[in-house]
Amino acid sequence: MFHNVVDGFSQVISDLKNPLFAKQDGVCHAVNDLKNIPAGTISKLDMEFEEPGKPCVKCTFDVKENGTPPKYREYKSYTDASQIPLPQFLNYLNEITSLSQLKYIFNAKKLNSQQAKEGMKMFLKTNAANLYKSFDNGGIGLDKCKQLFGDEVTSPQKLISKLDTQEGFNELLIFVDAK
Amino acid sequence: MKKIKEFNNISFFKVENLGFYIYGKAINTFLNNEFESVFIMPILPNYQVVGCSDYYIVFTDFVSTLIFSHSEEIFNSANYGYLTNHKDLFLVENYQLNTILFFDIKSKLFNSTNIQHWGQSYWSSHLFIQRKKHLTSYSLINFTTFWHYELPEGVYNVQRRTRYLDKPFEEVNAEIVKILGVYSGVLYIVLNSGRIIGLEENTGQEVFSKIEPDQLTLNYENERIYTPTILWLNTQLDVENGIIFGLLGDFYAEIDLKNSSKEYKVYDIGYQSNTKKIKCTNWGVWQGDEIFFGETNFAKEPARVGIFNRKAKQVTWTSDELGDEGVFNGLRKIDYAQNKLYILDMESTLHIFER
Repeated sequence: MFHNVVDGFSQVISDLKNPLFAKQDGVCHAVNDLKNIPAGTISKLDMEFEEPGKPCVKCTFDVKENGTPPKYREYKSYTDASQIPLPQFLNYLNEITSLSQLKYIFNAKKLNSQQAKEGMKMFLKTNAANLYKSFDNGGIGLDKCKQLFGDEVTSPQKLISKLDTQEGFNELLIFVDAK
Repeated sequence: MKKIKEFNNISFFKVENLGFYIYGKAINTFLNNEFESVFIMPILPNYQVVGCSDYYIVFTDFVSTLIFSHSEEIFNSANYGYLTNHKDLFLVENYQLNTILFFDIKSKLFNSTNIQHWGQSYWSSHLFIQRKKHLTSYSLINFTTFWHYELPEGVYNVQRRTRYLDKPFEEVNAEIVKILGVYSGVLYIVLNSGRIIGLEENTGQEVFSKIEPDQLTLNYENERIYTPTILWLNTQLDVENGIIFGLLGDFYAEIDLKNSSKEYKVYDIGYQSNTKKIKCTNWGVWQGDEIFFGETNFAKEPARVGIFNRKAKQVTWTSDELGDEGVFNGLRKIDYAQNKLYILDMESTLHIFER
């Protein structure tokens, strides 16, 4: 058994044939990493790669792993990690109860792990106020923010100051990697 | 169980003794149990509701905090951040001075505290605040420090499995993730490894330590994977009966603290043929012997709700019985009070069912 039995695998194959280079590039990046993961650990694949800078329309996820609580992986083949779409990111945050359940994996050919984390730090700082907005105003709300970023992080200002400390940076950007 | 009411555009709700609060784009109110609006708050566009009780509702815009009673504004101050409340006692933070104060709703007075760091809090006869490796006990009367506990360096670290073939394990530093509560003079806490530690309430001495048994090995062919951190944030303490328990995925686990062996028992409920097929992915609330929980897939994909009975150790009801009304567009919050089940979905609709 390999990943080909997983829901969404046929979408991967058709995306590889997509004439858009960005799409092919994104799918290749994901497939390269997926081959290191044992067959049977993935419960769902969805390869709706949105283009950088454009709002996320369908906001799906790339990979959902088996197990409870579930873990999610999102593959990004971007040259600037701070350009990831916000609505999709918020969808992920709503699903998880700890940042350890999420992995944003950037393409190591374009960004190293440190650059990816720096880009994501920029993204979080820019969007801090949006994250803390209530759910129907496009955020995830205070309670979710506290659960994910720490109980002491009670405001967007505090999230920004936490990201600026070395300890906070390491803790909060644990979900960002480059492979 | 049958559907009795539905509200749209809800971003927050909280059930209390007198009724419940709902807050959203169009509605911002306090309702009694007959769903008659008793009090309507002013709409505050930049503020969101962060807490409420039978007596007040708290709004914050992260720069200032407003507290309303059912009839008037009772506290309004810039530069105070909302931290938490317990009965009539509020802890707020003065952003300018970077200090934590408590605000007495009845006297409307501020008092200083010597609380230095903020984190998850729990109140019993003391106030406990935890952050990562540290846990501090404060007096509720004058907020002086009773004791301070720090996780011993390296002792509770665990090797956690990763999904990569070339790097199957990684060492994870121990941290406190949740304060469970106090039973019979012992404060119970949960670590990120799933380990439960008991500290003597008055001294902070470690008197109990137990980790979940790792019963099943990883099986890549099988979807049902048991992780050692099975309960984690879903761990609860039943203070009345002295039982630590939790439900996650296909597993229910409990420790009976009254029993001298304090054995950690894990029940694999997924393989029971007599139970209804649903797994717990979203924790809701527990009351008496029953746990109200949900199963979601992702975002707004169809979700269901179930009830698990702790005595019978099985799922006794699922929302499948309601037909289409029992399928939700994702789940954000599940609550249960006075025979009513409240479900807030990812499309901001609040569904209310009565038993």
